[in-house]
Amino acid sequence: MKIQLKKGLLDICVLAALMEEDSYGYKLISDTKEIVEMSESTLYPILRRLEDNNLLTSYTKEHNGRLRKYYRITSAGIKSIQDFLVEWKDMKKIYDFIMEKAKS
Amino acid sequence: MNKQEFLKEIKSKLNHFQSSELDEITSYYNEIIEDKLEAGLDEEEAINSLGSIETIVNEIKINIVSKRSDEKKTNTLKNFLIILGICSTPILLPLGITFTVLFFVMFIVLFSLILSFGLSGITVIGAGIVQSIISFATGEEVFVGLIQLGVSLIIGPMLLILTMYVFKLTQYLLNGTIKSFARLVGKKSKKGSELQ
Repeated sequence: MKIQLKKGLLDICVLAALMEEDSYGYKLISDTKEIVEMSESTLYPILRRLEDNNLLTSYTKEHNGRLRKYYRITSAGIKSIQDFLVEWKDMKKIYDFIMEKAKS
Repeated sequence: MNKQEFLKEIKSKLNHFQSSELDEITSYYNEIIEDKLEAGLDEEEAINSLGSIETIVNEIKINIVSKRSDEKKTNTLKNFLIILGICSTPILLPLGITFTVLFFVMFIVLFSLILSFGLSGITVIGAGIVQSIISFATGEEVFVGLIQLGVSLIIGPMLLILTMYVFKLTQYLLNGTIKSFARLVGKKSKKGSELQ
């Protein structure tokens, strides 16, 4: 249960990291480092899965004389973030409730 | 180990996968290593930070197989053998044995179902035709022969359709089993590498 939950969360985190601008593998890992520990071998299948589900697209661009793969979020990807936020609103209420009771 | 050796090793351990999949994986790791070098790490550090090649390769195998099991045309046995190949460590061995037994029991049960339904379908049709030919040829009980032919032509094809459905169910069940096998191996091997 816990692992399953985390897996779906990582997908959304990667998508969220693409909201501001297009990004690439190494940057995605560094950008999400503070909130989740994600190894390179964890990120790879996530990117593949998100691309297969059309939640992001990829293109290659030259950088310092080599090619780098960039990822861009699609409109479907943005929608899945919004859906996530709606779903998790209730979750946050529950969290706040537990937090409040735990304090007292 | 330098970058070229690292990529070569990954490639050689995944040699039974399509080259397009392989190219994508190696260019991903190539890019990550290059970016790490750019961030100031030396080659050795960059490669060591990626974790063991074994873990990387196993994770890739698990992901590819679970994706493949969802495809319509998939090599079920090959998928199974790839995951089984990962189960050589003591932590994963019991899981490997359990799933091998489960897989083959399921295979045998479902295969016998297919065989018996299929064969009885063909036999029913064949018997109906033979019976009616005999009754026509001899001119005796032609009416009974006709009924027999009619009944066998209804029941026979029904059995054959049933066979087809059991066949599809077999594919579905076996691929589903492989997928959950892959998922379990993934979970367990991750736990194992965390312990190390």
